[in-house]
Amino acid sequence: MKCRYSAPATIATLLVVWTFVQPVTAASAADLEKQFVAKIDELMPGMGAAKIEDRKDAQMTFEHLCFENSTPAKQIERKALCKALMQRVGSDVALPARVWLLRKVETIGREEVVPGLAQLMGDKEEIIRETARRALANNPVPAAAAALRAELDKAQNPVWKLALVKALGWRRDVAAVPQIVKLTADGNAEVAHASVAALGTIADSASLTALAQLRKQTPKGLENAVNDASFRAAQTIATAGKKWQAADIFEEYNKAAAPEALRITALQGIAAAKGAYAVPELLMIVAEPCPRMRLVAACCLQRIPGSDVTRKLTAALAGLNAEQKAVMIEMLGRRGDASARAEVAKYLQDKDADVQVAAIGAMRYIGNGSVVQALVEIAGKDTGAARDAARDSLKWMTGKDVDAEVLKLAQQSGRIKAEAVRAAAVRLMKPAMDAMLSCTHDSDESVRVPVIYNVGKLAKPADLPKVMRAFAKLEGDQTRSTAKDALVRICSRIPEESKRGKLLIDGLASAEPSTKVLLIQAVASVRGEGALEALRKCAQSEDSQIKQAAVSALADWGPVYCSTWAYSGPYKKDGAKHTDLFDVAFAPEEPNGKAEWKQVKDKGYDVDLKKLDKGDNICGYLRTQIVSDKQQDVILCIGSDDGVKVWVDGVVVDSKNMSRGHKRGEDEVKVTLKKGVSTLLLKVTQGNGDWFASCGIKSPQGGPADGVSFEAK
Amino acid sequence: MAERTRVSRRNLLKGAAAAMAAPYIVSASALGKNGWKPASERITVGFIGVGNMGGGHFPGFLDDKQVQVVAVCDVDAKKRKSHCEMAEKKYAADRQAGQFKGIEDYNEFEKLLARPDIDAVLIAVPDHWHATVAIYAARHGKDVYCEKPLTLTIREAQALVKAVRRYGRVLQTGSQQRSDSNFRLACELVRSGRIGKLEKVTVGVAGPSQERYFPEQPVREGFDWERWLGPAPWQPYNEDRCSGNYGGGWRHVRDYSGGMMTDWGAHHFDIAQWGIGHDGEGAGPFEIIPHGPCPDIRETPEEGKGLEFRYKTQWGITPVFHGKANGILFTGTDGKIEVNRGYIKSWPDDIVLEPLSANDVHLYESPGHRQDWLNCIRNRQRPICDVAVGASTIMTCHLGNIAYWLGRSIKWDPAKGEIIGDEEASRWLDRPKRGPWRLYV
Repeated sequence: MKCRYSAPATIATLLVVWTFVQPVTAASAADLEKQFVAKIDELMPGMGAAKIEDRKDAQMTFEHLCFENSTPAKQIERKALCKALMQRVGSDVALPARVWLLRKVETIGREEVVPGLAQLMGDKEEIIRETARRALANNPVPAAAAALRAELDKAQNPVWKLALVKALGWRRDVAAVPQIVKLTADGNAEVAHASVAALGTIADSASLTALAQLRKQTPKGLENAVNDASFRAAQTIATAGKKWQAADIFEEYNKAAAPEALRITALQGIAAAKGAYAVPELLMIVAEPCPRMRLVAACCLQRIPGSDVTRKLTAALAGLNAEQKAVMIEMLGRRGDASARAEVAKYLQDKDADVQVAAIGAMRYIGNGSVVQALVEIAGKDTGAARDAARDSLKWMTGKDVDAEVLKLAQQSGRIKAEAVRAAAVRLMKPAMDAMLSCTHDSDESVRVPVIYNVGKLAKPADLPKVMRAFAKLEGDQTRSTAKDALVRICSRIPEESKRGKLLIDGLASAEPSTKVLLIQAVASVRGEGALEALRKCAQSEDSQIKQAAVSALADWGPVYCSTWAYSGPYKKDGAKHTDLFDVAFAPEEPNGKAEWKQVKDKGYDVDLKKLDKGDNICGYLRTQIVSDKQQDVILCIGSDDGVKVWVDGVVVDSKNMSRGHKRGEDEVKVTLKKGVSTLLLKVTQGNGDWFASCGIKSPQGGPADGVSFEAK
Repeated sequence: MAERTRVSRRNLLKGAAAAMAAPYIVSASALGKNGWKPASERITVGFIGVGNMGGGHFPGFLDDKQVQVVAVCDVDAKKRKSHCEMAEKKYAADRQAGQFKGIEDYNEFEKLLARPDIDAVLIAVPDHWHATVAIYAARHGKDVYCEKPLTLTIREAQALVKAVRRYGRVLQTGSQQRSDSNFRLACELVRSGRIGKLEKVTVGVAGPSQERYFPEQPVREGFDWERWLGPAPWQPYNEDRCSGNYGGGWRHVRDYSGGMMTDWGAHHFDIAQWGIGHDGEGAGPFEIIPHGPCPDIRETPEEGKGLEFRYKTQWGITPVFHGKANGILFTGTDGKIEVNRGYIKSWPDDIVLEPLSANDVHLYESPGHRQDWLNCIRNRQRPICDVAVGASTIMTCHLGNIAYWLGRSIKWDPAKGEIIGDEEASRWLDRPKRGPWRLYV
């Protein structure tokens, strides 16, 4: 269903409805009301249709009418519409229509609907009573609350009482408190519960007094309700500024003997209400033996803002035992207030391991250049948790002074240098690149591996020759595997996919055997022009290590993808979807068809056809030549977005008329190539969105096919 | 002072682990075997809702040796029974025991939440139940993983934040894209200025929910229809109305859901707000402007034809458009970044390839959405998609829906959480609840 979007702003057009409703003009609110009544009557059969699915058009038309006529600038129209609407919710109207009209009243009615809704709360139909109650609950005018209170006075049925109490509580109706207080003693437990809950929501002074009384003398079975209502009321008044009054309520529950859940809630409330004034009592809880409460209190302290609080907390450290101190130092770090740094730094060499680790860890958040040397020394000297924490903090501390200090230490020697270089690497500090390359053979694998890994992240393709030199003769499986990944990562920054392996292949010529193995593995991942030939050459090597690496790489090679294509397109037919075009023979697939072909400049293996042509429901053709030095069976590996039809020398070998995303090698088709040149033609359809295709060739055994290459035509 | 929350810390863990409640019924022979944490350190979890999403989480929790699933609640008897059986079989196999008993099933969530031995619950019920169940859970001292969209209304979102803070609970919103490194990277790059001054963000999700008209059908056996409806207005049963299928079902119905604007918006608008540094308490747009008609629930509007959410950001006034993008598209003066599941792309290319240094903006790095939640249960820190984050995201989505449905601009005060100058629009901030369902605010 479409609607007219912009409302005409002429004075004459008081009522703007949707396109299928004629605009109505009126001279007065009374006339307007009549017109609305007429409109409702027109829609009534549909809105009240016996079959649910037949109600949609009329009900939605009416809803739009309501939305359109209840803007802030259309209060006259809103009132007239509501009055009209209330004329048509009587029992003579079909029930579904009554319900629908009342649900609209719920969102637009005000004073004008209250008497009618009050009456409907006595309707014989339960769903009408309930819908009227909800409409009053959501009506902002005071008269609506008065109507709900009057109904509550009359109510006998506990379910109805409960619903009314709930509505009044939801409205935070202060005037209802006396009635609700009485109902806290109702014989029906649910009504009593709901009444206590409503007092917690309303949270005015009378409610607070009533709840205080209930806390002193809690009726059996209402304990949880009273506690919860008290907490909610306290939170509400704290937010409204009555923080000390709220704190008094929370304090009632902050007793060592109180159930844990109540005490946890009390502590949250005390911290929120009293702020810095809560610090002493929270510190006392940190010193309690219960680890759970200690943790909760520490987290509360963590979230109280202010440097004055930080000062109080750091001053308290000296008086705590080691276990408490560790928790507090950690919390001081999480607060992120650097004013705690000097005090916390005193514990960087603490005898207690937990305290020391906590202090080192806290530096992650509050450390600066002044603690870098201490952390580097810890990382270079200690082991285990202290070293891990120091390395972590060195990684995450922010500031140029931190960088400067790390660089300075990276010029030193021994473990200080190694750890500083490690820090520079994980901090991705480009100026430290040469220092990093000098540490790739560090005796500690936990230094050299992250260094090598981050060289991969930072180095540019132009750095490859010196990176390859730095990676010569690396030892250790993890080190070599990381180095291979680093080389691949650096090569991946070369924009043209087919050129990415060149520098590595060049490096193969002069590398010593163990480095050659590393480069073979990297070439096998990077691929590109000349990679296959280079690996085949290495597979002939007399060095068994090199031979094995190359043979293994060739076995895992998979298809060789084509990166040299000619393109013709786009082709389309009026009104035809891409799936309809699939079997339409355009010029490129006709034996003597005259098509215009252009070379695809992009040398990637996945052809992004949207770079060549744009449009939905079109198709295009890709053509290349396969040259084989013998007749042989091969597997064509085809991927397309959307559908694809593939010909080899004019014979259809794959046909997928569908909408799909591109995935290399999704279709695998066995074909027999003749010796010499075969023509490969792909027709790729495009519905909408991405438009891609790719095609590769592998041997039936999975490796690269021997003596096969692609050549542009 | 910014709160810094990161992965679990051993001191906090140590304290929390010692205090963790013992599971309900777990054989002593299971202590610490086969990589399982000892029962006294395992987090006991109840599932509330085991349909599409809850059922999706369930096997992962059974495999997780840090937790013990002890209870299942669903209004569909067949589903809850089958999940109990699945858990018992799995636990019996893990313990190399012939039998394992100890998973209780419930039709009423209140009964599950009344159990003092349950530490935490995963809530994966339809949207119109989220706030009621989650607040009830927090009140009963449970930590919560609540599926997104966090709530059905704005007032519910505000109430849920208050409740979680009041009771000192941990709540992880199930907007798990925050725990995905691609989304985090995109936001870090934007906030580190890699695309220059941020000019706009485009969020590609489909439209709001609608009134739906399903014919009446007999209620299927074992299905508690009244309880499924719960606080929503009464309607006759229909299989499609209460189906959880992603392409239709209750997600399309306005009484139970905000449609794709909230279902997917809880993911993509969440990332947009993360990227512009506008999430958590007091965050949100100050104006929402519809530039075209309300789109269908299956339709994503063209750029400039959908909503414009206007934010005050570090870059000035930043518009976030509801329009066509592959996920979320950040456009700056020096480039663009687009991110979606399994996809991140920048223009120029090297923006996403150039690594961020220690001095760039680094956002909370989650070890995985479930693991982050479990860590926070132990260390009492706030998880990556804390209740305030989930609430600020879903409030934005709801404001979008209100603007679409009413066909007019909305002015919003994010600090006060109120619509400005439009009383009838304000009445969409909440929905009165049916029958006995009351929300504790």
